[in-house]
Order: sequence, then C-alpha cells, then structure tokens
Amino acid sequence: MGEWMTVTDPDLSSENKNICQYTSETKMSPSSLYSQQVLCSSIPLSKNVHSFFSAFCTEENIEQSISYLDQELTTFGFPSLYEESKGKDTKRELNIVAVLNCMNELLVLQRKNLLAQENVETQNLKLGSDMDHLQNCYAKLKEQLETSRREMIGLQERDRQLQCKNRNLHQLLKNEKDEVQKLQNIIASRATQYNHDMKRKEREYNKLKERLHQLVMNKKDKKIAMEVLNYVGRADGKRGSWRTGKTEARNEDEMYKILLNDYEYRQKQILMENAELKKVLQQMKKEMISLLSPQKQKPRERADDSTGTVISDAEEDAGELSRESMWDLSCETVREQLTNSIRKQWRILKSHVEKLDNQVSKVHLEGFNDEDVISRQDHEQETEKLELEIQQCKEMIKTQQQLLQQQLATACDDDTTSLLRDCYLLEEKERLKEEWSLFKEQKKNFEKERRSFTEAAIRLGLERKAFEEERASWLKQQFLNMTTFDHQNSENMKLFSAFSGSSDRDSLTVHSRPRQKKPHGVSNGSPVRTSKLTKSLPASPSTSDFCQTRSCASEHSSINVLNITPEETKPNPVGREGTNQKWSRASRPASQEGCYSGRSSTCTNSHVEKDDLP
Amino acid sequence: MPRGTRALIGCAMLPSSSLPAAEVAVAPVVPALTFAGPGSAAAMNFSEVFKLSSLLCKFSPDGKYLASCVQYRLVIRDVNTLQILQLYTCLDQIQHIEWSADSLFILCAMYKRGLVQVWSLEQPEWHCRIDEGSAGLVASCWSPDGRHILNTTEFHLRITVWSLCTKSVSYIKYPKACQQGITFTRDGRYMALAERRDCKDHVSVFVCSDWQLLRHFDTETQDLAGIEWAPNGCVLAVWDTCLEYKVLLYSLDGRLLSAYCAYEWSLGVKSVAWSPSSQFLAVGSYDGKVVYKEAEKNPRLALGRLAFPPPRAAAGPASTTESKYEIASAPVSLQTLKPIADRANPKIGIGALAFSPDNYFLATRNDSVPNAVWIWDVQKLRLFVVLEQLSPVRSFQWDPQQPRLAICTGGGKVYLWSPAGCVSVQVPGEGDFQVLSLCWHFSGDSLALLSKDHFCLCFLETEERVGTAFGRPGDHT
Repeated sequence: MGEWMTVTDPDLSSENKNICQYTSETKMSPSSLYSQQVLCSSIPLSKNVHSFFSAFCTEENIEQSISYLDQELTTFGFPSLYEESKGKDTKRELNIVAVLNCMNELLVLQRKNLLAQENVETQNLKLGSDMDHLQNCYAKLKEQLETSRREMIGLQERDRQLQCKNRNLHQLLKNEKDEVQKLQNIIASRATQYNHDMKRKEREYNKLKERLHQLVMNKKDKKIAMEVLNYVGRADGKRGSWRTGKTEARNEDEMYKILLNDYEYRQKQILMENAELKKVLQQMKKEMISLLSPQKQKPRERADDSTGTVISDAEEDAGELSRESMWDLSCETVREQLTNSIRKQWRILKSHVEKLDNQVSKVHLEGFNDEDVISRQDHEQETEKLELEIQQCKEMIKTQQQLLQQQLATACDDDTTSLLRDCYLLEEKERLKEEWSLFKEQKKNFEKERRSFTEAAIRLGLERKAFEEERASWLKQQFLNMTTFDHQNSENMKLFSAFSGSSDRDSLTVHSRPRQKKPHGVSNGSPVRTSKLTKSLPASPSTSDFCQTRSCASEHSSINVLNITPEETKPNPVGREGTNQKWSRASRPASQEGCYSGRSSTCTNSHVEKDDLP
Repeated sequence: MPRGTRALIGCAMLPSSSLPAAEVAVAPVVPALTFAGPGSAAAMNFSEVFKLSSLLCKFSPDGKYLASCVQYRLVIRDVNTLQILQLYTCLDQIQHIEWSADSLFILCAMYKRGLVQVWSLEQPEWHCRIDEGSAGLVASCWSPDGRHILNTTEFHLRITVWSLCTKSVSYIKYPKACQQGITFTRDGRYMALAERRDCKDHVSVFVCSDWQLLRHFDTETQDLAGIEWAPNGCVLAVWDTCLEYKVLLYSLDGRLLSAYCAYEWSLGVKSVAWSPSSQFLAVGSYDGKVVYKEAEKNPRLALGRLAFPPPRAAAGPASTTESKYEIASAPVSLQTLKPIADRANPKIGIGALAFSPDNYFLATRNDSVPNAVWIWDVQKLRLFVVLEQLSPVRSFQWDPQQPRLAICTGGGKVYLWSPAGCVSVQVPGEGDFQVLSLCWHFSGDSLALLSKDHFCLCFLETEERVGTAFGRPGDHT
C-alpha cells in the first residue's frame, strides 16, 4: 500500500486527511468501527480501490486470492487466515475472525502510516521553505558582499587619491614654508642692510650736524643773544646756587626721596588692600563655616554625594579656626592654608547652592506657579481660620467677663441692700459670699501670677541685655582680633551665625538663585521669592535647617532693600564713584543695552532691584 | 526717580545787548535726564567774536587772563570781562605763544626769524628778546619754573636754555627730532629729554632747578618716537616708532620697569595717554585698538579693546539746521574711511586718546572712523557710548573739572558730552564760525572756541550752581 501512496498526488493526501479525520472520529466508538471503516474506505477511495479489487479478486479466483493473501499476510507476520487444520488433507477453512483481525490490524497500520507520512510531509514542506529562505539569504548576502567589496574598492581608491592629494599639499606646504623662509631671510637681510645704511646715513648726518654746530658756534654769531631789560628774580625768590658735587648729591637724594615716597605710598596702599582682602577672606571663611556647620546635622544618607567628605572638611576647618589665630602675624605661613580652606569651603557652598538650585528648578518643573498659589491660598485660609478662632475666643472671653461683672454687681448690691431688703434667702447669701471669697482668692492668685510674670519678664530683659552685651563684646573682640577663636567660642559662633550670619547666607542663596523668573522678581519680588525658598525647603534635610532658612526667608525682603542702600550711600573714595553710578543709571536707556551683557549678573541684578525703588 | 525729563541745557542769553542773538539748538539725547534741583539748567552764553590768527589763543595757567594773537600783536584779556589788559607788538607774525607756569610771563616765538620775545604782565615795559641767529629755531617752551626758556634749534642741533634770572645760557646737545621728545614732570622738578647719540636712543633726566643731568640711560628702542612722564612723576613711558610696537616704562632713576609689545610686524603705537591716577597707561595703536595697561605690573594687562565696528549705540547730529543727537539702536554702521595702503601715515589707528579728569572715562578717536568719538567706561572696562558726528572730529578735550567732553568738527557747532547726555550748540555769529579747535578754562566754566581767524568764549555757568558739578543726576529717594 505504501507504494501507491507515494505515487499519489497531493489531492490524495487531502483525502488521507479526510480519512484521518474520520478515523479520529471513529476511534472513540470502537463498536461502530467496522461500518465506519467500510464507509470511509468506500467513499474516498471509491474508484481506485474498487477497480483494484475487482482486478485482483473475481468470483473465480477467490480461493487463489485468499491463499495469496494468506501467504502474503503470513510473510508479513500476521496470523494465518485459515483455521488451524486438524488433518493434513483436510481443506483449510477460512477463518473469518482472523480475517477481520487482520483487516483491523492492517487498517490500524495504515492509519499509523498515514500519520507518519503526514508528519514527514509537513516536515518536508518546512524544510523546503527553510531551504528557500536560506537560499534567499545566501543570495542576498552574496549581493551584499559584492556591493561592499565594490565599495571597499571605491574607498580604497578615494583613500589613495586623498593620500596623493595630501602628499601634494604637503609638498606645497613645504614649498610655501621654504618660500616663507626665503622671504624672511630676504626681509632680514634687507632689514640689516637698511639698518646698516641708516646707521651710516645717521653717522654722516651726525657728522654734518656736528660740523654745522661748529660752524654756527665758531662764527661768533652776534645775533645769537638775549636782550633783557633787567633780569628777574627766581620764582622761588632764592638765588641760583653754584653747581657743585654737593648739589649733585642733593639732587640724587631728592630723587630717591621722591621714589621712596612713591613706593611707600604704593606699599601703604597695597598693605591696606591686603588687609582689606584678608579681612574679607577671614570673614568669608567664618561665615561659610557657620553657614555650612548646620549641614553637619544632616543625616548621613547624603554621604553618597560629595557632601559626605565635605562635612568632615567643615569639621576640620572648624577645628582649624582656633589654630589659625596666628594668621594675622605672618601671612606667608598661613596664606596657603587660608586660601585652601576658603577654596574648600567655597566648593562646599557652591555644591550646596547648586543643589538648592536644582531643587528649585525641580520645583519649577513641577508646576511651580500653581503649587505656589495653592500653598499661598492654603496659608491665607489657615490664617483666616486662626483669626476667626481668635475672634471667637475673644468674644467668649468678653461674654465671660460681662457675666462675671454682672454677677459681681449683683453680689455687691446684695451686700449693700441686704439690710433694706430681706427678701433674699440666707443660704443664697452664704453661697454668694463663698463665691465672692473664691473670686478674691482667684484674684489674688492672678495677682501673684502676674507679679511672677513681670519678674520673669524683667529677668528676661536683663538676661537679654546681658546677652546683647556679650554678643556685642564678642563681636567687637571678633573684629578686633579676628583670630582669637577657640573651641569654647564655637558655641558663640553658632549663635553668631544664627543672628548675623544667616542674613548673609540668605542673600547668598537669593543671589545665586537663577534669575530666569525675572518678571516675578521685579513685579512682586519678595513674596514670591520667599515662597520659592520655602518651596525648596522640604528637600533640605534637618528641621533646624528648615527653621533657619525660613527665618532667613522672612528677612529676605528687607535685606533686599538693604542691599541697595549701601551701594547708594557708599562713601566714595574717589569722590565721584557714587555719582557715576547714578549717571550710568540715568543714561541707561542710551547706554545700558550696550554694556557687554557678559558682565556679572549681579550688576544687572542691582539694576533690577533698584527699579523696585520709588 | 526722575521728576520728568528735562533738557540738559536751558538756553539762556546774556542780557547784554552787545551780543548778537544766539540761537542755541539744544536737544537732549538721553531721554531720562535728571537734574539736581529744579531750575538749575545750565546756561550757555557766548561772548563776542574776536580776531585771531594761527589758532593762537591760550588761557593763563591761573585762569585770569586770555592771550590771543592777531598777526604780530599779542592781546591779553581779562577772562571775565574780556577787556584788553595789555597789548604787545612783536617783531613779526607770531607762530607760537606760551604762558609761563606762574602766569607772569608769556613768550611769543617767531620761528621764521629765529626769534623769541617774552613779555611780562606785571611790568608792561619789561621785555626780553632772544635771537637764535643762524642756528634757527623750531620750537620754544618754558621750563616749569617760568624763568628759563628752552629753544630747539633747527635740525635739532641743540637745545638752548636761556635764563631770565641770570645771564647764563646752557646747551643741551643731541636732542632727538621726534614726536614728543621733551617732557616735564607735573611738579616741574624734572625734565626728560629724548636724545640720539651714536645711532642709539637715550633719555636724559635733568633737574629743572639747576639743569643738572641726573640720569642718562639708553633705551631699548629702534627709533624712539615719544616720551611721557606719568602724572606722579615717577615713571616715564617711552614708545618706539610706529614700525615697532614697543612701550617701555622707566623709573625715575633709569631702571626699566616693564616693556610691553602687543604684536609684531605691523604698525605699532600711535598715541599714548597716562591715566590721571598714574596707575594705567592707555596705548592707542594702528590696529584700531586701545590697550589699557596696568603700568606697574609687568605683563599683566587689563585691556579694553576697541571692537570694530562697535556694537554700541551711536548718536549723531541729524541735520545742519536743527542739530540734535539721535540715539541709534545697537548695531550701528559707522562711516569708515578706507585707508590708502600705499601711502605713508595711513589714516588708521587710534589717533587721539584722553582720560577724563576723574579717571572714569577715556575718549578715543579712530582715524579710520573720523566722525566718531568713542567714550569708554574705564572702571568697568567697557564701551560707554559712541558719538558719531556729521563731519570728522577735529579735536576733543575734557573739562578739567568734571567728566564733560567738548568736541569740535570744524563746523559751526560745538558738541558737549557728559554722562547725563549730550548737546550740540550752534555758535552764534553773523558769519560762519567754523570751530577748528577749542580749549577749556581750567575751572571748566568757560571754553574758548577757535576758528581760522576768530575766536569766542563760551560760558557754561549755571545760575545756582557754583561749586557743584554740571549735569549731575538728581537724588533718587
């Protein structure tokens, strides 16, 4: 059967599929197996099979065909179709059961074969398509290879050409260089020649001049003369002195004196400048330390970025401060140290400010405006609520007072008119009296409390005064010798930073803030900016930090104004500087756009801030 | 803030009927001009026009007198009344006049005849005549003490020092013929003189009181072109010929303090000016740049370079009839001359430099942009303003008392600039008064305007203001 199957066309395979379908259906019902099989075999294979069978077996040759089949089947290992013969001669009977079994077996076998064949065919198809694909790929790659090969050749060609050109250019350059060299040599030689000629000519000219001079002098030119009515006195009233070695020495002395004076003057200026700069440096350093010291309280979670190392630096510097009390004495020894520490601090500050900036910009990105407005609204609502509450409380207190007074008045009335009117019960009187005493007691208590409060207030005032004094003295000391820092003063340091240092710090942060939000800054400057500050706070780590910065923010607006005034009222050493500032302002429309915008932004800032002024 | 814009200069006439009616065209340039007080507008009054020859008109150093020359006559006037105080007659047409430092004498040089005549203001009958004879005369000047006259003979053979106190005559040989070969310190104590000996440049420093040679040193220049003392009299700037860019700074005792060279192989220094503080030196060069250099520190230079064309707003007087400045917006193209390359002394580079007396501004003129004056803010090292005129700028001079610049262009107007704004003022007069030159009175209150054969005085006083500065913007509070 396998033989003719291979011969058959794809339409056969489709038939086979049908068969398969059928068989798969039939598998489930073995009882109806037979009829189904007959059906299925009869329908799809109808003609072929019938014709084949008709050709194979006819009425006449049943016997032979059976025997043939038997033979065939036995050779394939199937049981014989005939019953087991009892005797030798007896004619073997066809065993129908065996036939049926055989048939069933054969059908099962065929089904299996069909399945296997199908699998093989699908695999074959798959392989075929794979093959096709691979062939395609191969062709494509081959093409690619070809094109790239061509390209490579082209590039190589170009490379060669470029190299050629390069060589030519090199050659040209060399030639040019040679030319330049030659020309330079020519120029040099000409220059020397020219110089030489010039010198010769000048010598000749000098000779002529000399000669002329002699001629003019020797001629005893009577005309060369001065006619004066009478000689006038010297401007200084002195008489002319003889030229002697003494005068020469005196002149020298005077000259050196002048030079010395000049140098002294300049040195003085430089010293002053140095002192000023030193002061500024020291101040800056101190302020930076005080500014950065709160960072120490930061949780260590920030240690991953640079602040981790930086904090330790700050600590170091705080310690260093005491050591640097010597810096005033000799600059050279401490200069490096000082500048280094300042630089370090500066870096810290910069990174810190940058961080703050980033935060701010982040906030900006998150829709700074809307949030800000909302927060403000919240704030206002809150304040309103609080005010309402206060109002309510006040009212309550008032009513209570009124009630109290009424009660008191009635009580007083009771006392005074008790004799006249005996209508009140004694009990009630008693009760009122009790209450009265209670009130008195309370009043006494209140009185006591008030006294203690006033005392406390006085004490506080005194303490405050003392503290002020201490602070002033400390500041004075600070200014007098910027150096006398020791560890015990570090406490004061912090206080200092809280009071005066904070303002600077605030201004610093404010100034460093990018000014891209200029419209805000100009129109309604301070409130928005303060809110900006507070906005940036949640990201700042410690609560103490928060408080400080907050206070700074509240100070900010006033500082903004203060920043300007010194500029305006600045004592001008040249005598014109201040006014010049004004001029530049006044003529700004003409000149301002022209200033190089690259100038420091602080300049423009100051202008912007000034515009806020009336 | 400004109480409203007001004109920079109110037009006020001298009540005197002798003066011709002056029409003063005034227009403020800067829109927001403020003044110190109400009604303190500066007035500009013009005097009568007087005759003049060869632009010889000078205020005396004490500011009391004004000397002017008409042909061979020397006229001395009182500055306030303009009445003639003295009239001297010289032997020939006067070519040069100079006041002595104490304002007692005035010398008149007649180069053609090799003659110098000196007149005394106190004694009109006193006279002195110096004849250089066949040696000739090319320059004459006072020594700072006002008792010696230095005459340079023809061919720079020598400098003769004539004394008015004694009969002594001294000669200084080998003076160099150059742009600026003789310079006195401001205190009048020392004189530096450029010399040429043995084909080398030298500088001699003399003590002016007795003409003793104090220092003599050779300079590292190819061909020295000029020398100039710093205002403090301790540093001498020496610059080389235009073929070599070289500026050398020498100490009073002859030590070389520093040398500066901006570039090579091109035309070099054209003009040099010390800042009034003696700390800085502005060097204008042929490449159209001004180098503002710190004098003491050697190679470090703080420089304001003249960007060209300027990125600045320029203002130019618009028409001739009604002259006013217009503010131009940022990119401005200025009228530039194309220099003729194959001629000597090309019209390029910074030809004139002047610091304002308060050391705050520097005015420069680029010769290839003859119509414009650049004014730099020296403190901020940036361009402050560019003033473009209708015609080439002839000369400009700072008010000695305040930052106020007077400019003349050879036309009938004088231009004044101050940080508060600028004005152009028509010089009154029936004829055409072409202002070729101008000079300030040392008080800054008046200005002499010189034309080819006339001069007049321009008074700039304000009524209320006596000591206060001009055009100061008002208070801001």
